[in-house]
Amino acid sequence: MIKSLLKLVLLSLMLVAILSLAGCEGQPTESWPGLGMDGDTLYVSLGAKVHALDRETGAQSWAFPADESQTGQMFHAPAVQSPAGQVFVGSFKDRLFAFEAPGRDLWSFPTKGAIVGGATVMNDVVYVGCNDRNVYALSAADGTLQWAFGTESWNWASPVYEDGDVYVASMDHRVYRLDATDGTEKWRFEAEGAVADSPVLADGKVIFGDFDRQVHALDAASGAEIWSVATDQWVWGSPAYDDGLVFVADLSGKVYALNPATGDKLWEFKAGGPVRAGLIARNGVVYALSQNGVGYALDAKQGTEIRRFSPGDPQLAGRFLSDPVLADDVLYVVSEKGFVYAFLTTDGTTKWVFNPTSD
Amino acid sequence: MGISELWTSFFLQPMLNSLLWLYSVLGHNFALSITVFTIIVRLVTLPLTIPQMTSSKKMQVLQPKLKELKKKHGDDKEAMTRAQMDLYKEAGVNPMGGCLPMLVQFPIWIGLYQSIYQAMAVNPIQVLDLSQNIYLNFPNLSQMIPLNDQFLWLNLGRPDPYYILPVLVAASMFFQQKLMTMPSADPSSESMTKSMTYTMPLMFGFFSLNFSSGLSIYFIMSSLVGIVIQLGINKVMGMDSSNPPANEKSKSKDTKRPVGEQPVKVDVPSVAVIESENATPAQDYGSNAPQSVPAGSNTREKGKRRRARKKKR
Repeated sequence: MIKSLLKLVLLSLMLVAILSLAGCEGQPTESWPGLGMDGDTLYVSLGAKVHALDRETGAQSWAFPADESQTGQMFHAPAVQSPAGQVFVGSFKDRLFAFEAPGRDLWSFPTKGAIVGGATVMNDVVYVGCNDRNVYALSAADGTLQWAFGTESWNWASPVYEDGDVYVASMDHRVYRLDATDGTEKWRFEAEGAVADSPVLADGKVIFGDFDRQVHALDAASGAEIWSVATDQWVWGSPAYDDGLVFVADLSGKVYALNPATGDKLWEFKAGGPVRAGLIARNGVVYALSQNGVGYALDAKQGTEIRRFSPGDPQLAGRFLSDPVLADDVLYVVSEKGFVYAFLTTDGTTKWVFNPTSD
Repeated sequence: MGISELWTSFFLQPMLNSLLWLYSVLGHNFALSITVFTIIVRLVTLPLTIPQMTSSKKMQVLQPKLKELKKKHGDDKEAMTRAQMDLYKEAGVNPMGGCLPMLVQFPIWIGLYQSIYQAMAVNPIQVLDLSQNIYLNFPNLSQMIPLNDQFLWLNLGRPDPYYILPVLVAASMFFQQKLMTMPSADPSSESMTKSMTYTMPLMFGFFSLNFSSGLSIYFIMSSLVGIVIQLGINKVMGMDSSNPPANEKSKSKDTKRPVGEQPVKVDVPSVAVIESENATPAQDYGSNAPQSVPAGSNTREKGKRRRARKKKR
């Protein structure tokens, strides 16, 4: 009996060790999907593949690549250059991929670290941050390197382009303003916490949240801080700006409306779960997705709930972690498990659902 | 509160936050933090580790006698079990004594491993999970995220590109297994133990080819601490690593003995014999250890009483 028990204990130990060690590899075994849009096409980066869906029906037009082992896990929506229709997406395979419809490979750019954040394309230049502590500017045509700017940690946020400059938020706790043509640093701001998503530019200010539970507003010209406001938890997603108000959400599930001039809180709304995804604010409505698989439409002036968007089976769908897309009264949301929902903003009903498992 | 929440609140979060605190006071060196944290946790669990290892060693000491008992009783399982129990009782050994402390330590090892794995978050999902388990009132913890993942030539979130750590994982684990191996009177258990000695290190070494380096450092440190503790126990029990376990020596000497010459069978070993073995270096054990070890008068008295009891029955 003792021997049997010992054998059982040893076997259990081995089993638990193997099970608990699964998924500890350098490469992640899971990711969260990204959702982007260009014209009538929605682009969903899901796992190691990009799916192109018809925006009207949710039907898949094509997917890239055929061999997923090439790409590795993706964590952000692909960037699309109109009207050429080139698509740029980075992955955990230390590479930025460029391709075009219907999934034709153009070029790829190797890096020395994973690419988590999305790329930004402007004037035939692709800007992308990387875990190898660099921000790269590449030619959209052939992927040749224009310049690289070194930071001190990972770069998960998509660079923001405006008026010949790019604003880069970094996990090294800094926000940089760089000259888009040669990557020269114009200023940098040191925050207390990591900045994981892109800032929003509004009224000459650069507004962003950090992992130190602060929202900062900087003067876009000088990088000097104008105000900062405390939140309850880490701020991860990008803030939104609309009609003279700034909206930001944190991982405690709170959505805040702030005065962009002073940082004063105008209202707070508590969602049913942490809010990781960036917000959308348009036409007096703020859209926020909480991790418990519920989307909220809030009145921008009052902070009151107008409507909820929910998949039929939140368990099946998984969490809402990715930034949504809003177009023509339809809110497009991709869940953690890759289901894409087209919710009508007028009444909250579901227009169509894309099921990745029926791909 | 479900088991998962209880686990997170009472094991994972305290360990994770302690590890992050260590990181903050050790110059933001995560490899050093893993090392110190592993050592601390192994030291804290020492009161559980020592009885487990001591029990194993005591069992090891009893193996020659168990073999003798097996020869004596042959297929009479009932008699063998009775004699075995008598032997354990007199030696003050609880055959399950090693299991309970090990089972109690098991959640601690898993918590230690999980906290290192979580703190070393390298992708957004892992960082998101980490954010749920950091104490918000713990000063400056949020400011340390992401942790510095560079150490020497290593990116702690990725496998060692030069395969040095996987080799060290396998080697340290093998050495530890070798020290801890408890010979068994039962050949099938013996072969299983032996195969574990080789397969476990190989398996973990192989896994480490893909593990992030931080986890490999944890495995190496854990094995090294285990080796130091085991060597200490061996020394205290008079069985330093240079001396093979009693029955291994006995095996080798048995093979040299001329055919026909059999070791003297012991009737029932005594506490005094065991104490004597514990107190004397391993060279006192041999194929003829039972008859060569001087049994004290107390032992003889006990033996007489036992034989009398048997006759009565």
